[in-house]
Amino acid sequence: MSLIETRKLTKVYDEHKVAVKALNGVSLSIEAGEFTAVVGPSGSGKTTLMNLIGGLDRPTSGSVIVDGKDITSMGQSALIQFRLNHIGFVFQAFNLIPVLTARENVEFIMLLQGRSRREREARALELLDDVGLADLVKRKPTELSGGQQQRVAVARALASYPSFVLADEPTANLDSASADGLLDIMEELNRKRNMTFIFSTHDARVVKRARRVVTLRDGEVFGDKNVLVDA
Amino acid sequence: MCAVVLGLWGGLLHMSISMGMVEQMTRSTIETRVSHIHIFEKGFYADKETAKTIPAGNRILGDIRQMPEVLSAVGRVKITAMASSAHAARGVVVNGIVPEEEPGVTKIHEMITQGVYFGAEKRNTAVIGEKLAEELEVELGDKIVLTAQALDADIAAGAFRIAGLYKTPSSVFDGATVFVRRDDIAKILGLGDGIHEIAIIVEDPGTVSELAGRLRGRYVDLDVMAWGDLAPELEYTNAAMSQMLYIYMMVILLALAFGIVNTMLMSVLERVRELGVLIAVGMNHRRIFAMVVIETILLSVSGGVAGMALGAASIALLGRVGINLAVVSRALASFGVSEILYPRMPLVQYPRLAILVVGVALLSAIYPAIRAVRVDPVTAIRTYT
Repeated sequence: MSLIETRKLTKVYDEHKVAVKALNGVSLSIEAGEFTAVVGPSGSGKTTLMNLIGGLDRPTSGSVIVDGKDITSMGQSALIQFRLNHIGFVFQAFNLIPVLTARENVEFIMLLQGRSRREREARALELLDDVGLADLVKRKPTELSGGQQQRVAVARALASYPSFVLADEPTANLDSASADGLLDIMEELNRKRNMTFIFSTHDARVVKRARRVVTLRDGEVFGDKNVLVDA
Repeated sequence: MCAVVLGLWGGLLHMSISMGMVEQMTRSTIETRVSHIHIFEKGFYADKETAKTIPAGNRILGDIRQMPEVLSAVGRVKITAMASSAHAARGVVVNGIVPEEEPGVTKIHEMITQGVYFGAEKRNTAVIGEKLAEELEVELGDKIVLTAQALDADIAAGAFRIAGLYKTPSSVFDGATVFVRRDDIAKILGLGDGIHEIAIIVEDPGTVSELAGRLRGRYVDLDVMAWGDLAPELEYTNAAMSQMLYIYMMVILLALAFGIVNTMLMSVLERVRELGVLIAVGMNHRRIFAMVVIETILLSVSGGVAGMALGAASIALLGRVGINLAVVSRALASFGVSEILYPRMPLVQYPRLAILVVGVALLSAIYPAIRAVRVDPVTAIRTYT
């Protein structure tokens, strides 16, 4: 069974009474351990696809199956709980909580899950060490560089023991060195922990490192290339 | 938070000034015109007939003085009379008192501005208000003639030398009340040892109603009147002031509520993206709602505590030094309020107010919390990135 499966996923936005079909019958399967980039020009439906897979939005038709569960039929509360326990998010704008330190930002997710203080502290330090920020755990986001903040965001995304991580343009606000450093960490986590990463990206550096590239155009799958197999 | 602090501070100060004013009016009236409880012969209070003395008045006075609740009690002759001088005449109420006993019931002896409060001297001396002296155009040492109906229904008159002038917070009282020795006026009216009025001051003002009830039961042939019966306008003012202050505080709290709602709504709208992220990563609606409510309560309680502390401090200070309202002293005097106003706030009002502030905070938090819960994470993260 695939980790994530979308079945004829369609999303229509009713923009000022002129319907916009952002996704049109997209069917995809994503296996555990994948390092996949979803690419396409602006308006191709990448973000819509990510939002639907992440349970942040509901499709007009079709379904999303994650870990064997149809998340499109879940109620609001159940969906929020599912996101908390199964999905990690890395956003373009980092979106860390500014009044919390790096460690507290990572612990926060586990606090929502009701994990013990000891477990939260230990895991937060372990993850921040994995992303190379062991010396900066007490810093607040405003005291960190863009690259460092995004690493904290990655650690936060992994804190809840998710089934997969959705990264929406994670390198868009980073310089080259920071972006490369971030991708190194994500690749290593993918290898070391078999963590599934799904990127929505315009960044060629991300595409270059992805082992699978799904290309969207006008809301449909235009290409689906497994880099290792199809190389 | 500033709005909460300033609103509460201002509201408390205003309330305390109003309460202080009413308290002064009440105290001044009890210390001068009415005591806690008065006893008269049936019908005397309405017509002030000289013949209506209290049967066995002095015995009853002695019995009442033995009661443990009673702090002090005096017997008075009380008549309506005409006070006249060479220049003018005025209708007055003459209180025939025993000067050595009267200070236990009134504070007129502390309000002497010129001369003495009787002193150990001659007969037929009077103590009158400054206002009356002004109207009769008399001074210390001058004589006035008091004319009234005697016991035998004939008109009797006596000349009294002014030994002292007094000034109370009430100009109305000062212009209409004369104090003379009881023996002097009783002799002129042929009353013997008869008394018209027994005035009582109790240990605990909270027991007035209960004691008055018991005295009515004991002396069924007499009129027993508590201060609220003798000064109904004052009792009404007290009651109305209490109601008014609650309404006034409700208005202030309503204004506070709008301020709190506005502040928290702004806070929520400024954090739309943050809220969207929190919902996206798995913070459920119940937690979001609770977060906003707790923030609101903390904000309101902090402001409430600060506002009440400032209010309490300023009330304590002004309650000691007073607020000088000499510029409107005439107007205040007509209400029986002195020109120095002492704000008062019973301590029990502070915890009541604290509870109200928390209640208002809770109610004010609802709408901002609902707005926070309704944030769409997709729109919030995308729009505000």
